[in-house]
Amino acid sequence: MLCVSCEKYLNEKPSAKIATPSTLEDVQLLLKDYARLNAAHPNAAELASDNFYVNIQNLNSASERERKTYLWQENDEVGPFWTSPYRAIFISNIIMETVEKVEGGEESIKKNYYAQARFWRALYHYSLATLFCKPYSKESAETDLGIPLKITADINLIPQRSTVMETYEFIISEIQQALPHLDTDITVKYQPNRAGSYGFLSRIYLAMNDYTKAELYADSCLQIYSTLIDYNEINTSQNVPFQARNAEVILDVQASVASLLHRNRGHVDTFLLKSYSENDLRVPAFFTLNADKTRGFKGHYSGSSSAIQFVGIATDEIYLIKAECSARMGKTDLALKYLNLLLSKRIKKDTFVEVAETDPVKLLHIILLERRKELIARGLRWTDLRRLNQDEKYKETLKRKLGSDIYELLPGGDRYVFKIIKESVEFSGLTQNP
Amino acid sequence: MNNLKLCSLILSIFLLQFSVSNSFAQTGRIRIWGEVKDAQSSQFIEGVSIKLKKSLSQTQTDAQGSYYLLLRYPVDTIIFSKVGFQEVAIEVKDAMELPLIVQMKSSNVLIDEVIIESGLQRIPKERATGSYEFIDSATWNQRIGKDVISRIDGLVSGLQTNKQNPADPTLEIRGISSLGYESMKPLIILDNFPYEGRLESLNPNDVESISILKDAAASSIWGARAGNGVIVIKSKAASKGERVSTNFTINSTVSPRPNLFTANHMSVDSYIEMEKFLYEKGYYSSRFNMNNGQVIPQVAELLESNRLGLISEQDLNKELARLEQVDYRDDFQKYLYQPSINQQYFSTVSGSNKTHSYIISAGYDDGKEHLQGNQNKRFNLRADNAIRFSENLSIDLGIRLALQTSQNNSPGGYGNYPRISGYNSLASENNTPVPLDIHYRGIFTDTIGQGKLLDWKYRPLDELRLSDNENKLKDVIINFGVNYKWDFGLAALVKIQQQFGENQLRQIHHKDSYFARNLINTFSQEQNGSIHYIIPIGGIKNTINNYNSANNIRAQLEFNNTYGDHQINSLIGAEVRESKRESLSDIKYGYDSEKLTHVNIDPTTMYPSLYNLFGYSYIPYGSNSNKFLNRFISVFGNAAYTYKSRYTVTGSIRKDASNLFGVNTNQKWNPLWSLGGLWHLAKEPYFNIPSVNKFSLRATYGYSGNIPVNATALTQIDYYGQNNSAINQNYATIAMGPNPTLRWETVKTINFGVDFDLFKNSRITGSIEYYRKESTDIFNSTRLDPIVGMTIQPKNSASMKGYGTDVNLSVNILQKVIKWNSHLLFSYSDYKVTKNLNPPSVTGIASSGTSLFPLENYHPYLLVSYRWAGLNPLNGNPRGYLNNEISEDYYQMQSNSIEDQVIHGPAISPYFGALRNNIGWKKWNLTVGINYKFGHYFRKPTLNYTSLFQYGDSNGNQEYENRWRKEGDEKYTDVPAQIFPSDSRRDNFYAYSEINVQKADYIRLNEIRLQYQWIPQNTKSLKSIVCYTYIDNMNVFVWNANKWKIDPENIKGYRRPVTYSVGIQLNLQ
Repeated sequence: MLCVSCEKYLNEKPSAKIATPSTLEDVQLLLKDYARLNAAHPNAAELASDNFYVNIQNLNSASERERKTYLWQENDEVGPFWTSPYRAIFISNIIMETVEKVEGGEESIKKNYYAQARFWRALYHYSLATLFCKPYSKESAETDLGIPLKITADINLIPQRSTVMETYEFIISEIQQALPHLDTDITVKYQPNRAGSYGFLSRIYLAMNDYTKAELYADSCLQIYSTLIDYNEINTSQNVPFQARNAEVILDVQASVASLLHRNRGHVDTFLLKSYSENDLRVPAFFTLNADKTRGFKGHYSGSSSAIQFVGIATDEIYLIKAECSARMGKTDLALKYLNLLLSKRIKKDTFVEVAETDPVKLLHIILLERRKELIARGLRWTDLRRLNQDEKYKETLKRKLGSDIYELLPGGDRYVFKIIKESVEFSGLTQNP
Repeated sequence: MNNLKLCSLILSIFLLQFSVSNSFAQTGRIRIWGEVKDAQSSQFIEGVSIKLKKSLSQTQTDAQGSYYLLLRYPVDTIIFSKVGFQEVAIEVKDAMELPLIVQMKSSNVLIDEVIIESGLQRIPKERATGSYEFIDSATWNQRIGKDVISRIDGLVSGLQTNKQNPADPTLEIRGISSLGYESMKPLIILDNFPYEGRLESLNPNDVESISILKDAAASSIWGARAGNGVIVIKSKAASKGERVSTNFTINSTVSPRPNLFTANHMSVDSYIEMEKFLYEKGYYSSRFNMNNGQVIPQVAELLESNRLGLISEQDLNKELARLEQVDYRDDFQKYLYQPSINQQYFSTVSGSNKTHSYIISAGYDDGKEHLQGNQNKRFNLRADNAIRFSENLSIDLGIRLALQTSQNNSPGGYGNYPRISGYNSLASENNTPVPLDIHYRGIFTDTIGQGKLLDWKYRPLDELRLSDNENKLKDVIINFGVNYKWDFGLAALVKIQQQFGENQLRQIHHKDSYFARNLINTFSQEQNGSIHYIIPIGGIKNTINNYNSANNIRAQLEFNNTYGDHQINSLIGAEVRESKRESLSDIKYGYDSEKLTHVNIDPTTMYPSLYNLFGYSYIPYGSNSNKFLNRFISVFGNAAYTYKSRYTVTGSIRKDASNLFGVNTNQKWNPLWSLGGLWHLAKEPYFNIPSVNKFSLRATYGYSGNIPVNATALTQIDYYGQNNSAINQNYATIAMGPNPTLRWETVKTINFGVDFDLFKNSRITGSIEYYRKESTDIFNSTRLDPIVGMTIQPKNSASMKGYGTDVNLSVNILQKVIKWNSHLLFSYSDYKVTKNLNPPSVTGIASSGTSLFPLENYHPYLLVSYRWAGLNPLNGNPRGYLNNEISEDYYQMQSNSIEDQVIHGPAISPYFGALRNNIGWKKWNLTVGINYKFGHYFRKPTLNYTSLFQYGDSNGNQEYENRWRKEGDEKYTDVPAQIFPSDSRRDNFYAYSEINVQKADYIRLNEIRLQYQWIPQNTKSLKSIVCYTYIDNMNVFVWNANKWKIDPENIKGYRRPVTYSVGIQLNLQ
């Protein structure tokens, strides 16, 4: 019924702000959706780990989700732990599909955009895997349930759960395919880049207890970028000592700090606190001192006083992966080299003494403790607990004491795997975790 | 317009006894005689000029209103005319029943014979099959409200003002047909075209009449935007007489300072008690831990100082005793509120002659609100011209201008200061503003920067003085129309309307304002002992400019003619319409309002905050812009056929296409249409009940549509400016997945109506209507598996059904010396959701009815509660039922199914109406308006410990004083005990329990108007003077069902004060 000119008249889009993504410019802008791509990481891991403790008053006024996560209680109302990674995955899928459809444009740019989205898609699948699947173990990865791998934007296609093996293989192969098209340059730290991808692969392989590959990728990462901040040269007394995307950051990924763990509520674990030496600059740089002598955390690499935590890739983590893997594979010299490179930037200059431990077991122990001390509030402790619990030597039972109640999380306990959001179980019949 | 003339003819003729006999016996000059009466008062009219059209003879009525004249031709037309009355023309034949009694109607007052404006055509009610309501000028002008919405409430049946959100009352015509707050609003037509501007910018004094189109037959001509009814506002038209007619209206409305103590809030003693309790429980301890922490209430600071030994026990008690004497409501009332005053000035000049008719109107409104510093002014100007070049050709030319300025300088009324406690004073004894801490502790703001920073205290009274916030609204509408008619009844017309609107919001935070000082301090840096300001010291100016424009072009062909007993009125037309909205915003720093200069800042660098206390951030900046464009192409047609003035059938059809929809929807030929029939039973020759003057039956069936606001068929990505980004980059985000099947919501209506006019002099008139309607494809959210990346997606997915009755009954109780007319409006409107793919359930099935709560098979504004099992006698916890067992498990009870809950009913009244009485005696006229609503419920505000502890201020419910304290209290109170930590679920459970809901039924006396009209006899120019007083918002309850004596329409906050008005109106000619 409509004439051609009418149709043309009506084809004008109703809002300048509303459009179907169709151009490379749209894609570029979508990739800069920092809040939904970089800062969409769940904060469940820190909340369920043992770096911080809270008192009962603060716990009681926390939200149901935070409280249950903190106390390792069953909960299928996991909200953003599940939804925000899948939202980032949806955006990545839209970007990838849009790039495929765009005609013309420079091929290398298109490939780069495609690879960036592909990287994000893999990263968020991994963030889901660390929460909703059992830790990777060679023995059972083929049968343990993975997460649904969402590889199209089509809202009518809902995948079922894969296996842990499939999940990890998918994540690794996606990053490997993205890698060649990503920038080597890391001046724009919020964009997926090559060094960050190597670092991320290194992190994943470490979680899989594959030390050879973890070390290999740590090397690749550090080859591109290895700058460390010398804490001797910063004003550690500042309320917010570190800026976002500072010199150590390779890839900027953020999570909001759980409201329960804000610096005046989340107190640093006393055992952990005691493990810092007197001359360790991380104490003034990382911690606030409350009037009641408890300490909160201020050392986020996010430039924020409290509300945002950095969970992306930074050089310090990669140094420690390199050190750990070397130690585990008996390359003590190498392990000591990387450990001391890091520590020399953390301890007061004139008091610094190199670690010289040559016993591989003891050295590993030192490195693992340094890992805790350095990577507090990075969301990494959770994965460390999950992997180290597979090793008899490092198994530990977590405890929370609140008033007269004691809560425990046993190694390999069911609550090391979060329950899947109830809507996905209801709507699509996903198999629920125990 | 041909039918225009026809309409006015039919309108003006109102014969009591007029029938044509079959006798042709007499010929030649015969005598016609009779009387002329005022149709409203039934008084005889003197001095009516009576002319015979062919024979050109003329006469006048005498003091008794009687006349006689001689007829020279067998058929002729008598014209009755008098200034101030509508002309009446009657065809006379040589044989007719005498006397010929003519009723003339005042040209200002239209009574029951009305012409409905549909915006596309004028339809005499005599031929209207659909459901229309009409507010005439007399009724409209009885009210003095400064905007259209406040005047319309309670004047017509079927229309209800939803006051759930007192700040934004919305009109509902026969309930709602959509489930979106924007899309459920009725379509507003101003004269000929949809009105895109703000309703507040229309001057209600410039309104001649309001027509409300309720059913599909009435509204389907507006197609895909009419599903929630249409309100047609008709502006005042040019007066008929040759002489210039001038009118002046002046009125003034005052309302006393509100009484803040009527808001049922906590006493100051209770505040202190609560803060002591919180202090003892350690609520503030984490804040005391931080030297840059959140502000801590004064009482807690005093207790801490005492604990630390900084002040003695004695000083503490002395200070606490001093605070108990203060009540900040006194200060608020005194310093931040004032009596409100609103003044209206309005004038029209109009006239017409053979070639030209015109009206020019100007209005000025000036008002001061209850909050000091808030005021608004409105200026309206309108000029409408009709120029007739010949019998066939005429043009219309009009321009309308509205300028509105409002100042919003109040720092906020009572209840807007979450960080101020009840014992804080705003001013010291000599009226000096008292400094308060609202973000940071006093200990922090006092010492930081060693006095080198800008002062960091907040003083509400200074803010009032320092604010300069202005909202300017401009609205211009230009109309042009060409009209050509042929003698055989065909007319062609083209109408063009352009509308431009601009709304400029300007906020200047003076350099001494808290906003500016706070931001400047936050970004300050100490360098070698001196302060370096990153944000320049000076004012901060925010501007937001909104522009809107709408272009309309409509071409229309009309055919109206009568062939013997057959009458045809029809039109076809096409319309193209485009509306645009655009907004731009901007921030300027270091602004100097005198020199109009500003300082550039660097928005791309991240700056550390003062001593790096709050991390790094960008300086808030960035211009934000927004653009919207809606386009419609529509074709429509409408026809009515009337046989013997007794039977009418009507039909209409309309097709819309829009850029909001996908190509699929636009291309589908799926028009909205309606059919209707009307039968004037009393005009049948066999109908012979003398007391029945009119008895008509109507029936219609049809479809109208509704467009979901902001929906589009495309995948939506929203573009954002860098100021919204943590990395200071422009970006885009996916706002909504694609929706290729998006289409308009469809509303099907079937309507039956009866109109009647009974007994001599139309003693009883009225109408009864019954309708059923069904809305399908309602745009509503549907839930998705979150794996897809979104948790909800709106789609055309929901349905609703409704039915109801509208009754209008007007009784002239007394018609002699005292004239007493009583008009009763009654409406019944029930509707329910029949399909909803996203039922509310997340936080439990409990609602307060203040927002949409669309459960399938229930009213969309349903009130649902938890069952109440009383307070636990041991600990004062509220208790409900879980699986029929008494329970305190508030979390589990959230999952109670609807069967376990108490369903009260709707929060919107299904039975409502008004009774308006007009009593006239000589020159006096008294109007008394009573409103009533029945069958609905409301939930009262309750004590919520969580928000009280967190925010204080307006959350402090008086219930605090009645709370459970010890065993046995549960016998007298239902208010839960104070616990720490508070449990928001417990608070919620209590708030949403059945005990806090009661019937909202009421009958209230709301308005009284007394008028004195003086019509001077001996002056030529002065036609009348009307003086009046008017009292509104009286809220005198004749009946109020709830035992708490809460006004169900003023549940929260202080009681609205009564408004008193006086006014005068001069009519000159």
